[in-house]
Amino acid sequence: MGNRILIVEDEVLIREMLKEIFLAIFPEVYTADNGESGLLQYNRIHPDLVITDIKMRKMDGLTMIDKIKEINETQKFIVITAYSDEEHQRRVRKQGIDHLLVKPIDCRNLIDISKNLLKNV
Amino acid sequence: MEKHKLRILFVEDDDLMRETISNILSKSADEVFLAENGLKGLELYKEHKPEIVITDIMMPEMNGLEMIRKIRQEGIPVKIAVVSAYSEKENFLRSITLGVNNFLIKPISYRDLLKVIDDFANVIFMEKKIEDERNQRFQAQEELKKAHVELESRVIERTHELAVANQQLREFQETLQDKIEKSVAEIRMKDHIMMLQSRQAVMGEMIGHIGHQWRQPLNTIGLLTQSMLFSFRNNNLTDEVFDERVSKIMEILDHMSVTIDDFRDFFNPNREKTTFEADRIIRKTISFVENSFQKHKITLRYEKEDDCIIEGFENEYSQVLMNLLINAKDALVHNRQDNRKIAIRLSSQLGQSCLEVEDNAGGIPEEIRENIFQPYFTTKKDHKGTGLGLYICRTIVEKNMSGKIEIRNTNTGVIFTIRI
Repeated sequence: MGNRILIVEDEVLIREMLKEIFLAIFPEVYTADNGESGLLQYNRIHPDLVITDIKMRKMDGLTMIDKIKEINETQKFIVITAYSDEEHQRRVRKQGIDHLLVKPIDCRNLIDISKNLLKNV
Repeated sequence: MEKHKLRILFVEDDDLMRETISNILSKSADEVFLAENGLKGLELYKEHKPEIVITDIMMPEMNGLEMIRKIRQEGIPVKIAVVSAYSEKENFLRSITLGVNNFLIKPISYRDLLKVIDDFANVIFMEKKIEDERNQRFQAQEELKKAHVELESRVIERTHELAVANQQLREFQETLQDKIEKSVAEIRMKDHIMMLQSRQAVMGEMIGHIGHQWRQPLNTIGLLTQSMLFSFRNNNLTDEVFDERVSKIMEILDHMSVTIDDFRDFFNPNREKTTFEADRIIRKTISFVENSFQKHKITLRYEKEDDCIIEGFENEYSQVLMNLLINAKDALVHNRQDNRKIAIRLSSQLGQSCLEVEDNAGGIPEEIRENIFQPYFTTKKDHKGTGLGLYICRTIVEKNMSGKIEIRNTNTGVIFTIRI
């Protein structure tokens, strides 16, 4: 599996944990600490899958997704959110997100979903 | 007064004399009874009870004086005149002792006879009048007595009625007192329940905030734990890595415990008045809601112009601010798409602390502005509000801490002002 994954997460500890866990399975894992740098990174590496948090400084996850979709309409996303209320989830899904995971996340679940999404690439 | 009937008994043994006098008497009297001796005279008297008796003295069978004695024994003040001659002096004296009222001297003159009868008639008339008056007076006295008795019994009756009414009044007062006490207790209970309901509503909201606040650290703990599992499976879980992860997890858990403590402190039913710094309580309250306000894209700004020390209940003060912030948040989310703002200002004015909470959620219609502090009044839709929040705020500020809470509209929203 030579798929590229981009993880956008502003909290350093979580970002590093996710990177460590993903690196055990996927060889190419890149990170960014907010939407803005995530977008820059995206343009540089063109990942197959983007995993992003929503609430971040400078540019939030949903804004970044909109901008990426302008570049690549079929881009795969997994969104990690802390908001469990339905209204919020509905709003996120309307943006054409493939998967929405609510914190605290189960890594096995996250990895399974990632594998599934990357199978079709 | 009607003229009384005048009846005369005339007793005379001489037939001619009896006839003659009888004719004269008939003209003055209504009725005349005639007898020829005392015995017959007494019988007629007993039978008819005439008003006047005129009698001769010397008569067979029973003489006039004997008859008079017997008549007198009847006890009726009948008017009696005797007919006698001057020569019969003895008779005059005996007549007087028998209570004879008048004398006619023989030979009887027509004039004298009429005068005697006339005098008797007058006396009878006068006596009758006196008797009538006495009767009337007696009757009046009786009536008076009766009225008096009646009055007395009515007084007794009335007194009794009054006593009963008094008793009823007393009982009524007692029941009223009971009712009032019961109502007061009910109102207190209701207030207490409202206070609890409102506190529960705030608590629910806070649990939401805490849940949100916790999601991030829970997520981190989850990842740290799972990363240990992955490292272990990849055979690179060294002692250092293990140590580092566990201490990181413990650090996060400690931080979460603080949130629990804050939360517990907030709901600690501490009823002791203390002095506290308003600034500290405001910052603590803001920290509870900050995260969820960010989620709703609400900018929360806090400015402290002066230090303010308040005497009262710090948890309740925090509850008031929490209520106002939640209301502002709900209004902003409902009414505005962007640029949602809440500004909190703390200053000291005229020796009082002045806390202002301003939002730009569009304000409140003037016609309901007066009602918003009423219990169970809410403008929130879909049963989101209990309608108790602002009522409890006012109770806390004005009753429990002798302060004042006010609301006024601005161009873009409302400002709540709390002075304590």
